[in-house]
Amino acid sequence: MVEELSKTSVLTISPGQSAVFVEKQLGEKTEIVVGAGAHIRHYRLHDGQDHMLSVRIEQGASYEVITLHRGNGNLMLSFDLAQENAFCRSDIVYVLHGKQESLIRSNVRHNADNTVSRQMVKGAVGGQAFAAFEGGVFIPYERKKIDGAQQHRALLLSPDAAVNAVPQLEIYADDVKCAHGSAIGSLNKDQLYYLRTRGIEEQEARHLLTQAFLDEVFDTIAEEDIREEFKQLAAEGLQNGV
Amino acid sequence: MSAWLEIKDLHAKVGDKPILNGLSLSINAGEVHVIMGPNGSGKSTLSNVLCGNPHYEVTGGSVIFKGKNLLDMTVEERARTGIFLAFQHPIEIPGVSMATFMKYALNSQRKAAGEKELDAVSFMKRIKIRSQALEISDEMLKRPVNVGFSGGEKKRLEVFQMAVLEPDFCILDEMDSGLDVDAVKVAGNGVKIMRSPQRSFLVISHNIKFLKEQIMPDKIHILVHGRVVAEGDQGLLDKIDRSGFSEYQKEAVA
Amino acid sequence: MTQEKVSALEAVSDTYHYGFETQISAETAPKGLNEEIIRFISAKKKEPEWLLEFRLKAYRHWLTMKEPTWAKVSYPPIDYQDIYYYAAPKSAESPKSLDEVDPELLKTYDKLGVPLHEREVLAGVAVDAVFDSVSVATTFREKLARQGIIFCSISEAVQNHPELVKKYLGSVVPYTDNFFACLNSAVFTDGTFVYIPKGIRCPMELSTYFRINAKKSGQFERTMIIADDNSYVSYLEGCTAPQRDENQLHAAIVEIIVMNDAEVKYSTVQNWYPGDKEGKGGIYNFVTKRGLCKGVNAKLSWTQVETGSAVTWKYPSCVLAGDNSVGEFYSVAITNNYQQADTGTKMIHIGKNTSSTIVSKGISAGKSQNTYRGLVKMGRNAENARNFSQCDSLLIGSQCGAHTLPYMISSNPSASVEHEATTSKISDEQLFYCRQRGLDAEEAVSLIVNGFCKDVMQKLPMEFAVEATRLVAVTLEGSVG
Repeated sequence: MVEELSKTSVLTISPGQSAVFVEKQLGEKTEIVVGAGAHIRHYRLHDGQDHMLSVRIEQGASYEVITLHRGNGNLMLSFDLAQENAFCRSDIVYVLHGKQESLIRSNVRHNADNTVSRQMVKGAVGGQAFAAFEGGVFIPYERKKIDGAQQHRALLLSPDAAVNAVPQLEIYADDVKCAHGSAIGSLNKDQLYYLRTRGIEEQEARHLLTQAFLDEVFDTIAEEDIREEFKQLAAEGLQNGV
Repeated sequence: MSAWLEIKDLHAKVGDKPILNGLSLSINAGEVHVIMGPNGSGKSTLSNVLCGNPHYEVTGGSVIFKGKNLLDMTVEERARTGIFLAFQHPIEIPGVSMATFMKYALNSQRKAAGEKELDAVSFMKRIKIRSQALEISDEMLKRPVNVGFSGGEKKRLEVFQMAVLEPDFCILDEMDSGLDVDAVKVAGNGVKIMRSPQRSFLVISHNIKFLKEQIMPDKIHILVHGRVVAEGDQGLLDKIDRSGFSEYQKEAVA
Repeated sequence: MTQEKVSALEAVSDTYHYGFETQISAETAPKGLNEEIIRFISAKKKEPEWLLEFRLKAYRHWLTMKEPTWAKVSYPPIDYQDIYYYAAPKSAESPKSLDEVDPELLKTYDKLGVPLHEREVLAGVAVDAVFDSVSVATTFREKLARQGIIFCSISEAVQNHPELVKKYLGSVVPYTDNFFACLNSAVFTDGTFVYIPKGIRCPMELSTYFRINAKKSGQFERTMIIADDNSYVSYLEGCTAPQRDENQLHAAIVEIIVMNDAEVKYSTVQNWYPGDKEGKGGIYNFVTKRGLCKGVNAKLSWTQVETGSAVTWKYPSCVLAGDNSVGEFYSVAITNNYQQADTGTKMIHIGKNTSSTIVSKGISAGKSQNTYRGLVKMGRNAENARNFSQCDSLLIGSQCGAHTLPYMISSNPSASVEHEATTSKISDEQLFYCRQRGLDAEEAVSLIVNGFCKDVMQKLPMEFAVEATRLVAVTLEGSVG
């Protein structure tokens, strides 16, 4: 069952509940508590004012969110793995064009033992747009058996586009396995060439490759209609900025 | 006269789970013993407990080795007393070459024994003789410990370490698993070369052919639910080959 | 003649082997900092007017600056008026040759393992030794001079090669750059000057050994290396200090200029006194190191092994201005007990086809904090620039911290920036495996850590690599229970 949400400010998931949410209108702030053992998947479109999401994940619960950010308003995300065996996946796709400028900030805090976090952030920035990604993974003193991973990949699609990235690991405990990576670059020239030798126009080839780059995130959406819709929304966000 | 290695009523657990439940066995100098048993019977636990792996907790019993209480000793003290474990899954140590690793190991053992550290020349000599016998190239010795080696190469390097360190008591934990026929032979050869009246072996394996042709043990112990339920000579191998462990498992449950 | 006395502290502490103090009468300026002191230093060094002006300009600017607080380090406020800004061994004012150098000083350097006597220099390392504020001996000078290489103290360079010093002083690190660089520009007392002429490959490794000896003295050395077109030099820097309960400030500047097709390798083994197990004493190591790859195909490579100091604040950087220029940064930073290190690099890509590589290995033990902080910037004109960074952290014990803060800025779509980082601990399995072979826990940790650092250690010149490997073990003593 997929449930449509709109501009939720507070969402409390009862223990043990499983649900899939889609939310295409975001308010200023959303606070979510995922009760023990609950399993939530949440797909969000951010395309308006500044938005802040703060999520608390309790004992054995999992919260998986994919956010598509289309360059309007800044996006602030905060995840609190508050109790043992909590799991969080918080993927982000951002697409910016024209003169858009935005800041995307994410904080994952492993406040309990045996917690796992995953984050894949993919961005495509065209025109004269500018995106800044600041992503933190924080592990306080004395925590044990922590596994955190964060990846950020950005494509600069035009000569005037720019991206800043500050992925941060802040770790105060030794029983951890953490990794992060970040890369900023352009479309692979060999791939572009390959497509063009097959008769695909350059503009189209660029579109195709950019889509494929972002699809790595979208393809994890199990519900086909949501998946296709988000791909479409991302394509609109690029607005031929490719 | 007590045996060279005497394990008495050994109990051990991992976390809250008891694995060894009163295991007893003894081995005399120069003997080769084999431990067999179904999965989960405690074979690997026994080898880890004998070496003092802190992951396992001993809850009762005793282990006397060459007149010393093994359970009172740290991991490295046991190693320096002459206990060697050929790991079932050898551990990777990136950036540290096998040659460097052996130099550290050998010298810390020699220091503990009050002997002089080996100079570079004698060390290389000691290494070379053994690496050549085990078909280990110089290039392999320069590569980091267990990083990027095939299963067979790793096992061969375990035998090589055993040959370099010349321990009194060797535990081979699934030495032959995951190896092709030739690699099993090289491993078996290594053991054959190492056999001596002053050195004993405890071999954990499922491979009857390997045991019969390469190891030729003096005694076989069958382990079920953390206890020795049967013992015998090589004849026992043929029996296991025919009918497996089911008979012993039933007994143990009853 | 004074007699060298090994500090009583050395007897109680087994870990810091360089904690002795040399009993040498020192000539010091009065404590504190003001324009008079700066004039005193400048006069002592018989400096030309322009240099005094440079110092005074820096000092006046410094008065308007605030100490930076953004680094992940904390320490009690420094009283800049409680420091001696000039301390020179009396006999060492201007030694003309080794024979004139105070034998006590020579003994000290012997003890540190610095081969000062040319006959003892087997490896062909030319050494400039800086003792407190003054450069006391520069070996091999004549031999190098025959090839036109200038290797001397910066004070001598000011006297003998003023045109070079004037041209480049502050050209890479302007006095306005940061608080500590500004302070250094006002009060720097000595340091090393290297000039490699066009087309010359320096035939030996050049080395400076820094030593803080006098009590309550700061060390503010300034190093300049200029590699002219198509030249090459490898430069080594080592440092030690006596054990003292109070903290001592070390605020140095290193400026490097690399011209067309030239290459400079700069290696540091930093082993300043780190303080005791309770975090008392130790050196504040606040250093600005920067090189400008000015020419086409210029290459600058920083390698550092940081094991000492109570607090380290240091980001050896490369400004890659020349097309095709190359910047490298290889770093091992080990902290134990209460040490704090905030270190990394900056790679500023300006020219086309510039490339940079960053390999950083951080090890934290005890209650220490170890931060990698790096900046990679791809400017608008940095066509096809490339960067790859690998930052790995290893944690030993549950009370230390490891932090990775890379800043990546790209304004050129043809440029590529890649950063990978991992944080992990030494696995129980690795420890067990080593101990099963007979190594005790400390040996095992030091072996595993040296393996972890190998990619960086390999970049060090041979004689430094051996020293660095040993320092890893010394620094980690007591880190495993």
